Amino acid sequence: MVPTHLLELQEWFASIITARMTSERAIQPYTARRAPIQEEAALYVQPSPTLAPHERMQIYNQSYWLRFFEVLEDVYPLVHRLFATFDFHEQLATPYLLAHPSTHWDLNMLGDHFVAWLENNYHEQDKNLVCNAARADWACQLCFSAKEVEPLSTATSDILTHPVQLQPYLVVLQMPYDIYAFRDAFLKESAEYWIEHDFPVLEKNASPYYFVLFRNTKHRVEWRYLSIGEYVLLTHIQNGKTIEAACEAIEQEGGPLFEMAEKHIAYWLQDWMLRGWIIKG
Amino acid sequence: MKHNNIPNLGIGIGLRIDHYDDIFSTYPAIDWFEIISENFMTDAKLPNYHLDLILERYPVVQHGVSLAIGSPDPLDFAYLTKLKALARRTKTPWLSDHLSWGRLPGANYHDLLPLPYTQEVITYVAERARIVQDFLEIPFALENLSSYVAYKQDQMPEWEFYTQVVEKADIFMMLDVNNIYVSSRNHHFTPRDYYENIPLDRVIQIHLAGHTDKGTHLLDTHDNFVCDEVWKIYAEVYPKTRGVATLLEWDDNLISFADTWKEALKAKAFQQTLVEAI
Repeated sequence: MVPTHLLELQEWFASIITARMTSERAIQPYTARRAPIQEEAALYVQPSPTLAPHERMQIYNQSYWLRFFEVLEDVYPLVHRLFATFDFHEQLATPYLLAHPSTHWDLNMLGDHFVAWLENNYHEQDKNLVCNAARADWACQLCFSAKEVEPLSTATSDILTHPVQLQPYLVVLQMPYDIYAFRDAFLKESAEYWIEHDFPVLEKNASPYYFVLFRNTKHRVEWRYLSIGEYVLLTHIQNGKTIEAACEAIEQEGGPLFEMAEKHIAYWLQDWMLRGWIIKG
Repeated sequence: MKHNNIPNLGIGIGLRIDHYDDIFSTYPAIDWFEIISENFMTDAKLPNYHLDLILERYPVVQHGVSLAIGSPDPLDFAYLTKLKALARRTKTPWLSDHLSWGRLPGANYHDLLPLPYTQEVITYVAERARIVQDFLEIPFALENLSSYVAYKQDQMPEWEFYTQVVEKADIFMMLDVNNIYVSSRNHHFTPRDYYENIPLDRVIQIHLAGHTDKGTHLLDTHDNFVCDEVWKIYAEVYPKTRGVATLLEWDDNLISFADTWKEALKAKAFQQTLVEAI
């Protein structure tokens, strides 16, 4: 049984450390019970010769927020770079963490609601860019952390009709602009560099850009462009279609997509199989 | 339970990504590495690939940060199962985490939060620690914290609380001598009071680290050289443990691998003189 006094203390402690800091990164002057923090902290915490009880609690309050800010900065480096540190903390990280505090021991999961949260809660003019930047960042995280499954052997019989899937670490995505070239250019230089220089150009065409993120032979995350044919075929496979069914779906669409697929499909499949991207469904 | 059958691995350092280039290009003569368990309880390929390279050549000891033994929610057996699987893979001779709490049901604070030092909490934490050790089936140690608050509820000094928890649970101590020093400054006790009043025969590993003086308090930052006062505590404590594995923690404001190892080797100099004394 949890001692009652322990639980009461822990609930109080948690309410203090998770309260958002002031803009000067100090502990809030009033607690959730609307009591002055000096008075309430003194009920639970002893003073030291150099620090009052609430000042001692402030150490934990700051530590809580700064640790989580750091994690989100690492997982969403492009979004962080777009906002710069202060605005990233104030406009995004703090309200996000208030809405989605960590519930799991694995800190890598802290950012898993961030894209959806931005879609629902961020309404500035640059919303599309910010949401896509977050998607691009999160895709890298997924690609890095997902497991690797035994790839399908090229010797598998009936490979065209065999239920298949993509490696869990493979991320296929479509963007309205050349986001990963932009991301690479942005992250290649330090934050200080961009204070003095124009941001890199975010290329945009009439047609979308298609990307695949994968882990290379050194287990590091890489991206490359996909043609629309590769994108469609990989997406069909990811959605559970057999290779044969995916090809039929492209055939039914007809037009230039079919022509492209017809011409390249044997090479694509061979390449993906050799890379170990295709697994048993 | 005494630590007689637990090996003294010598001097180790924490395995950190920033040092990988040096480690994997030269495979330096380090006695052992400590890993943060949670960093390798993942499906991600890269960390596990690096861990396999380390395991081929070095003893590895696991140190955790997420057990939150004093939290009020039930022990997380999904977490413990993963931890145990990693322990089987690393063949860690023991495993440690902190005498702290860090969770409430549905919330994880990812911090090492101090417990109130009361008899009821001793009973509660000791029971959970015993379950953890039984489940893991290897020696389990709890580490003393650096702390910044003392509670009104406290009924005893930290060393008495720590002692009673490990003795009741029949587990081991992972003694962080920097944490003794940091807490002694923050709570105004003398380090000697601490280490002379704990069962040093239960210590199976020692942590050394640097800290930051914030003026009003010391902060356990692991970003600095070990200060003279901490080396003095180490010199006093080490012979009384009759020699246990010692680790230098350096997690932030990292210096080169060579300099980190040089700092860790200072402990070796202490150990050699002290072993002669034993």
